[in-house]
Amino acid sequence: MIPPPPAPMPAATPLLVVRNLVKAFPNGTNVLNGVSLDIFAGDVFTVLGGSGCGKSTLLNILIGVDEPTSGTVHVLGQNIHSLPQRQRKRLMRDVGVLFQSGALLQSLTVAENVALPFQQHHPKISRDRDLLEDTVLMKLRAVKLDAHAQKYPRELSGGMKKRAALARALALDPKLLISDEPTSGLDPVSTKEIDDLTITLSRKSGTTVVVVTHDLLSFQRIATRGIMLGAERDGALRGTVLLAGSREDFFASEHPLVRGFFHLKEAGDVQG
Amino acid sequence: MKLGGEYTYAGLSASLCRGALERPWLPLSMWKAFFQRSMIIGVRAVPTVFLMAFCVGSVLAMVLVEQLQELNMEETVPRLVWIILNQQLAPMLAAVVFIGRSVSGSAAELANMKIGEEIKALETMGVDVSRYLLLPALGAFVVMLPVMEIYTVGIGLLGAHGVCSLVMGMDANQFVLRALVPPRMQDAFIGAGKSAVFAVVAAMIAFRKGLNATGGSDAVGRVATAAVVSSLAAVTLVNAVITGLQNVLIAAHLMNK
Repeated sequence: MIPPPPAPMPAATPLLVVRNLVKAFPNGTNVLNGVSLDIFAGDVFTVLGGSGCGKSTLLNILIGVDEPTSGTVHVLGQNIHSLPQRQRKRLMRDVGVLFQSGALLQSLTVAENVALPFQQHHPKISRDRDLLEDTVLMKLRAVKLDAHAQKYPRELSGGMKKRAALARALALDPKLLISDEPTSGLDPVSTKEIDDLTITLSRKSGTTVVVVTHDLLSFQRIATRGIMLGAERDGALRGTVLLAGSREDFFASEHPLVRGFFHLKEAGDVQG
Repeated sequence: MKLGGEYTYAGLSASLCRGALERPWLPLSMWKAFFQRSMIIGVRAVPTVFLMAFCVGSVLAMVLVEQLQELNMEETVPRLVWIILNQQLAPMLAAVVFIGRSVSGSAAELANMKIGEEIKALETMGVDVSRYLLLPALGAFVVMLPVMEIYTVGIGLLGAHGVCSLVMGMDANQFVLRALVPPRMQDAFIGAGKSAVFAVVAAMIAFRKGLNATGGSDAVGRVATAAVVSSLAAVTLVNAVITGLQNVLIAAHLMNK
């Protein structure tokens, strides 16, 4: 049973603030063009867009592994790109990241992967082996993987890998979960499982979620708000925010590119 | 090192030193990684090193016996084999096997991790990639390559003794006496010291190439090849520089006398 969404917080301070973000590639192409957004506590914020719209670039900038050409990103009130390394690492304790591939360490078991954030940030827990094992098992139980704790990632299915990666991303109960195409390459059942888990776990721990996706079914299921970015085929509008609003705003939008994306996708889903 | 940025030699060296000095006590998981890698580098390379070292030692002895017999100096063969093996052949031979097996493997493994977003995941979790991944590998390289070098000298001497025994009827006692009396242990230290330096040089190349891999799965092969070629070139160059410096120091020492 998925818990109900938290009540909106109109006057709240945003957890993530992006202002006039521009990312130019060395060939002069702007892959992100003046992107601004605010993400508030309790949001399940979805970044939508077709191929080449800069979704992954935006995600890399949000988590600090890529630098913007101009513009600012404030995560939990701090400008992530001007923070010294040590402070940035401390800030990232409050940010969980779920990568498209899962990015589990292949040389470690599922349990060891989930234990990694504790070993890094909670020496007290990691020094007490029993406590660490119990904590990791609890995290794995939440994604229904406790029976597979001692398996290596290569022994898991795609959906299980994503669930293990989700457990690792949420291990430290982060304030913000950033998720890159969490359902790509998964069958509809696994997709629904990941969507449900994302919502359930984030609501239980009060985590705000940012999901980068082009999966409309996931968008329908989980998004409270979002933005849509112009894709490569949209020419001058590539990397600009075509629409920012609630889930309902997207379905009611008259913007031709938004309508085109939604209808094309729906047609594709029906055909598929 | 900047998160997500390019890994440079200077950045890698600085973060490895910082990682080792800030918290010198390594957790159990890192010791586990160190011992696993040491096994792969050292123990599993034993058959290859045995074959190569035995052949090189035998061939070296054959060439020296042939040349020195003309000068009636064939009795110096064990001594020359000891010096040449320790100072030049064993460090280079062990380095070649090590580069072919372990440097290529490490570079490929890191490239795979980079492409599979594992490095990015570690960075975003706040894990110090240098300390967590590279330090155990570097430790294993620096410990195991000198061990391999010493082993290479031993097996090389065994091969050379075989030739001396067959050609000149020299028994094991005579061979050891002629090789080691008066003792020249500095040769063994030079060889082991060189190997430790080679390990650091090759490891840094493997780490940098692997961590800067870009592209798809084809990049893994490309990175492994580049790491092997660059490491071989760098180790050969470093060996020439060390030998040159050594000769300059010896010349200066003799002039002072």
